[in-house]
Amino acid sequence: MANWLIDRAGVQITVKANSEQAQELVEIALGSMGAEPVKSIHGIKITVQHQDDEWHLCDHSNNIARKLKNPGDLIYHLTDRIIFHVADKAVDVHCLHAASVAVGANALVIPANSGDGKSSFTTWLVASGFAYLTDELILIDQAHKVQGIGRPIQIKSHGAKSVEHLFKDQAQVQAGKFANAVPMSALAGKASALAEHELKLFVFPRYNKGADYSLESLSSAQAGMRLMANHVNARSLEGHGFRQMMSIIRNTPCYALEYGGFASLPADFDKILIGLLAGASTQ
Amino acid sequence: MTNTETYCAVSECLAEDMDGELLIYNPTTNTTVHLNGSSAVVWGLCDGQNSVQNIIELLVETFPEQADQIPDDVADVIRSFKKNKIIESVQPVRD
Repeated sequence: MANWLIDRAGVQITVKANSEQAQELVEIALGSMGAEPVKSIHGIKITVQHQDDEWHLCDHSNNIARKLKNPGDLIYHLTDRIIFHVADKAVDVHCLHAASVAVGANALVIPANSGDGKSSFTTWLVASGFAYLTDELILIDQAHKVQGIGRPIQIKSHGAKSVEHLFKDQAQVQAGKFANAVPMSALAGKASALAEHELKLFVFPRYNKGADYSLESLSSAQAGMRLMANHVNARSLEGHGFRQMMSIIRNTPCYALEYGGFASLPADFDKILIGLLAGASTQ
Repeated sequence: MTNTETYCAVSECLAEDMDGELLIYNPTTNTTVHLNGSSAVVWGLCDGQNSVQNIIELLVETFPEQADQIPDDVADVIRSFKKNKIIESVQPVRD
């Protein structure tokens, strides 16, 4: 049996694996999350065990229990519980439904609605050498530092084909009925989940089949409207976090990206983003 | 909607001037509305005192060259404000 503690923004969650098989899969699930091995349970308790050829997941804080056939589904639901609790109870941070990657200490934040291609784009970025923070939830603190909840990248079944060519080790991908879990080892990528990063750039992506590539600067108002739509804990913050979020937007370059597939991106698109992270302009 | 109706901002709404453009956030519905220049002017005139007709007259007085278009534009903007739940109908308070 083994326990891991996830401790973020005042929220403590302990994941307990009740067998060797469960331990191996939990290590994959939490591998990019900066979880610490601990001896005892702290805060919210989630248990994982493998029994009768099924994965058993239980969130003891609200007695949610699931039996799952596929390892990818266990990873999806386990990390979903962790993300839910952090977003629900985090103190003094803005939680955004967004992916994030980094170059050095500089973070690129990618807010997007479900279906806009956020996880696929993140997979492409990690395969291109960016350090992975998260594909789902970021925390921005009062000093505008960014942390991610770095679960394995979740690629939904219908999007799998578009990213398969990016995998360096397909065997590391954990298959699921709903989504496939792509750990950093499958991409030969690096994670940087626990370190704090400076928020330097927002890119709002939109995958649109057949669309030409475009990367356009957004006004503060346009970006603010899009960002608030992806703010998930406004109700927990003073003044709903609105004015603080607008202050962050005013001081951070924001771009809208539209693309029709990775082949439609410019050959040097990774370098364009690295330049923007370093403060360059697209003009 | 009739032109005799009077509206004011929903009290929970938060407004922020973003480099000359206005963002209105309604925490109750968790929606954010981006107002361009003319919509922002109408928003400012929805103060619980001006009826829709007053707003039209004030704008026609200010922009007489657009007098034909202003009534329809104001009606469209007020409808979108109502749809986004950032204004509510009130009984005007007269001094």
